Amino acid sequence: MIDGLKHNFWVAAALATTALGLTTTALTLATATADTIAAKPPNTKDGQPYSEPTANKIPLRVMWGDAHLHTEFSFDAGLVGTRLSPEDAFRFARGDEVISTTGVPAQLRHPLDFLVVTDHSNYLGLPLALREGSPAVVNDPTGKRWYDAVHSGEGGFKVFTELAMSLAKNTNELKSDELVKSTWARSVAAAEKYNEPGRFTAFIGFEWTSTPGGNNLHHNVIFRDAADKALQIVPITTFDSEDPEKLWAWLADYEKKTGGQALCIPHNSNLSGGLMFADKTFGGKPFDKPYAEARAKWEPVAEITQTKGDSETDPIVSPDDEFANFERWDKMNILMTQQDKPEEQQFNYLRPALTHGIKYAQTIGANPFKYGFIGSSDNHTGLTAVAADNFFGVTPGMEPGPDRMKGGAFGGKAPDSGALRNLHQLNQSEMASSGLAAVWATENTRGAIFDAIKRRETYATTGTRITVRLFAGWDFKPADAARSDFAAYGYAHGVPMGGDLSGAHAGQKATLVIQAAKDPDGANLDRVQVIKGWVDTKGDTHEKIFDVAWSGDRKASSDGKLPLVGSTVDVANASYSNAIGAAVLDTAWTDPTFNPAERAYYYVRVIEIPTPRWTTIDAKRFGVDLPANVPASVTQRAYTSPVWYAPSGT
Amino acid sequence: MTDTPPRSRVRAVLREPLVQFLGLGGLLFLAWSQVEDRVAPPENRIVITAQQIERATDYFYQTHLRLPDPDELQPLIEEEIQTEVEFREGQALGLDRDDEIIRRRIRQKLEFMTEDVIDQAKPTDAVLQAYLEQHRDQFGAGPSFVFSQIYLDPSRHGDHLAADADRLLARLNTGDGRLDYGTDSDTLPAPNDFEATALPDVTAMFGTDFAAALPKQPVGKWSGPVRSGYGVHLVLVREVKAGKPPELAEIHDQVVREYQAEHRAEANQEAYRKMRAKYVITVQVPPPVSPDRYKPANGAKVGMADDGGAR
Repeated sequence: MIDGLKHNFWVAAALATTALGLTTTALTLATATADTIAAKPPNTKDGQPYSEPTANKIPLRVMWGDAHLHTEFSFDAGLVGTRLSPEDAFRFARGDEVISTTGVPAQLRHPLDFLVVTDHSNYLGLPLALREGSPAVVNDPTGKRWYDAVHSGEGGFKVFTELAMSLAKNTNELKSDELVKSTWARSVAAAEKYNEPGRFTAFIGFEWTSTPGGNNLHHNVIFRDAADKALQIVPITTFDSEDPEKLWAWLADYEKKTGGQALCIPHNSNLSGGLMFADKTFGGKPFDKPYAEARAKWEPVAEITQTKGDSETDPIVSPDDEFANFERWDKMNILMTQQDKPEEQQFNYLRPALTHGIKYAQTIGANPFKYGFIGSSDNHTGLTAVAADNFFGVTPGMEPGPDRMKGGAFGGKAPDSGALRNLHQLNQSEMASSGLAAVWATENTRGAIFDAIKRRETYATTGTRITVRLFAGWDFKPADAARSDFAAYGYAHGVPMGGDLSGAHAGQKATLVIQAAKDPDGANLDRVQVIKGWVDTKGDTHEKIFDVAWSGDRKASSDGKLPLVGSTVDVANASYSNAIGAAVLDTAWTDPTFNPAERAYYYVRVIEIPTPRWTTIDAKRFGVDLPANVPASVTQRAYTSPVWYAPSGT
Repeated sequence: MTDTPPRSRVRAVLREPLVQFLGLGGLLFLAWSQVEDRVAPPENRIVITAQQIERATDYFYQTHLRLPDPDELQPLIEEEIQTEVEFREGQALGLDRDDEIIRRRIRQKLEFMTEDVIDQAKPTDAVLQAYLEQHRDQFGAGPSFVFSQIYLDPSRHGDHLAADADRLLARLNTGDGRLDYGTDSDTLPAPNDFEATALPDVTAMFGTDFAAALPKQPVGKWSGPVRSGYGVHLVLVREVKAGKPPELAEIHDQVVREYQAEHRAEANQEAYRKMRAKYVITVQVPPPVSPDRYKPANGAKVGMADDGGAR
């Protein structure tokens, strides 16, 4: 695709390095001594790589997707009315017009490249079985009671609330392996039917919904494989275990049994009641090296943003971060059974987890929180629609309409008291129109996208299509950020997002080269930031935010703060203009605080200029009042996976 | 995880009530056309088939992870017999008639069967070929573009953007062909040179406006400025490769999938319409409903509070 690449056979070496997941940089490889066998590709007369296909193995463009979507197969979707199937979900994601559950024609402005349908394994298929009167349900006394409820005036909502609250106690209210198994076959068949290598990737997946005490330990499982392998298993449920270690063991069993590959992605750490990134295992033991290695292996990335709030950080743990207070759901856990405790917020968010992680790497020899970032929707409508002006909500009750900002998230009757009342009263307006998964994959196939997630070459956006590329290395020069062969050069001389950096020579400092571009059909960029966390030689941890590129000629003040970009948002008209901000920002940033003896991570946050929040757009389009409980405008953003630095020999 | 013995993977499919139902339905249909006029089998005969015993054995295996001993198998067979005896006795008493579950289940089964008949009735190749030709773009037959682009960033060119673009364009088309992306093009995290690239990929990288304008550019010379969400571009379309229409054989399953998705709802409606037409339907309208009927008994508030929620 890129002519220049064909002349650079080091690209092949760099990519081989990346693909193998080696923790060395290409530069290290390049400086390997001559007696290393095959350290250097052979010189061909025309300068082309010997193996021609390797010349094009640089991701040309980012692949956009959603790795987290529910359909009518999920108990908490089908029972609150969702009628869209996995097939409908795939059709919508690839760009077709579909009719939503509530009858609203729906279509994406730009199709997605991939989708993972992740219906809950607990009670998988229950709504259909209740609708259809399947023997697996009606032969069971509880199932029969639900069946009667669903087919009477009470509807599925009563069953949904009963099941939602039973999650906290992890009681299996309906034991039917047959139901899970037959629904799994349907789910797999839908993905097989819509997977078109090169055009649209339909992954096989499910959600494992561990919710001990109402705290969110949910993980999505994604398979690299097709039906021949995925049908050899039945999805693990939390009735098997609520312990993530058991989920990893199950994944290992799957790989051993089938020769396939799978991974899992935790989400909504913000609603985990301090459990997701806690300082001990689920069983209460201190971390050790095998635990940390297993966690980093099976959970390469975490969902940092979605409709139920953002999980990057929180004003409580990052008080100096002026962009920290974005779509936070930091009051309660997911079932709203308990209030968040301020001292636990450090275990609910990814930035503090990354920082704790590098400290563990130092103390126990491995990093349990080695998370790349991905964004997804977690919609329960079968519609992965998260643009602020094309937002179909989380449940059928909040599909577009003039009343959707008034009610509770799930619709239906609110009980008089208790946690369930809290859950019901969660106002729909608080849902975020977020997020998207961005993957630097070499092609649009299950294999290439899965492999890129596995090597953490991913980033998240809060719903817009910001492009961001990042490479870290030792020898990047200021002019390299503007190179026309930026990607090829970056791979050849550094590591991409998600990579590991080591091997600093005396006097060298880590340099990040970054290119970011606006959503071509969206808002300009305000700034690019590097967020650094590190452990000093005394073992103390630190975090610092650097503004590294910004629009216009703003100057940072003496305390290092860059002035805000301003706002063009016209709330009444729900509009903005690109009169401020920049289309493209690029920079080569050398860490002024770099110390080769200190472990560190760096990730990039790209901030857009303010734009109207979806609620503001709704208020204008439906002619209703602006909700007072949410801001009128937001700054959409992208979060890249980190690059980790570790001193040599550690 | 269920440890499924390989042999029973096929059986797993056969065990599916739907598959059994359809299989049975097909057989019955065939059988009925043959024996309709002959003597019906005695009503008091019960046959427990080998398939039923295999199915009972499979269920036993799933629970115990071993095969049943002969003395464990006998009760399973007895269970099958008892089910059939009591089913027939209940049927004779008309217990199936006013049962809501059975009504819904049978409706569901009929709808499944209708859907399956629709899906099984594979459209002919001629129909598929016609469908393919009407929906060329949908099947990846759109053109692709071999092109180069030079980007001019508005924030770097300011008021000179248009003049700079014109000057550069003139130089590229009339000058010595000198071209250095490093100095001529501003930074954009996208390549300057593209091999054959389809419009959806162009849209993903450059946005709607640019993708709409690209096919309108002349081939073989630099043109523009072409607007995109990023700013403006000069574009050299080197070649337009007409989409190679895929042969039906290459994408047969995809065409069937799309054809059926489009026609399934219609065919379902049609099948129902035909069945409904066989009946004389009388609707007995009840007296008007009093609004009191739906008032909650305990005075609970109906609908959602809108007090701003948990925050």
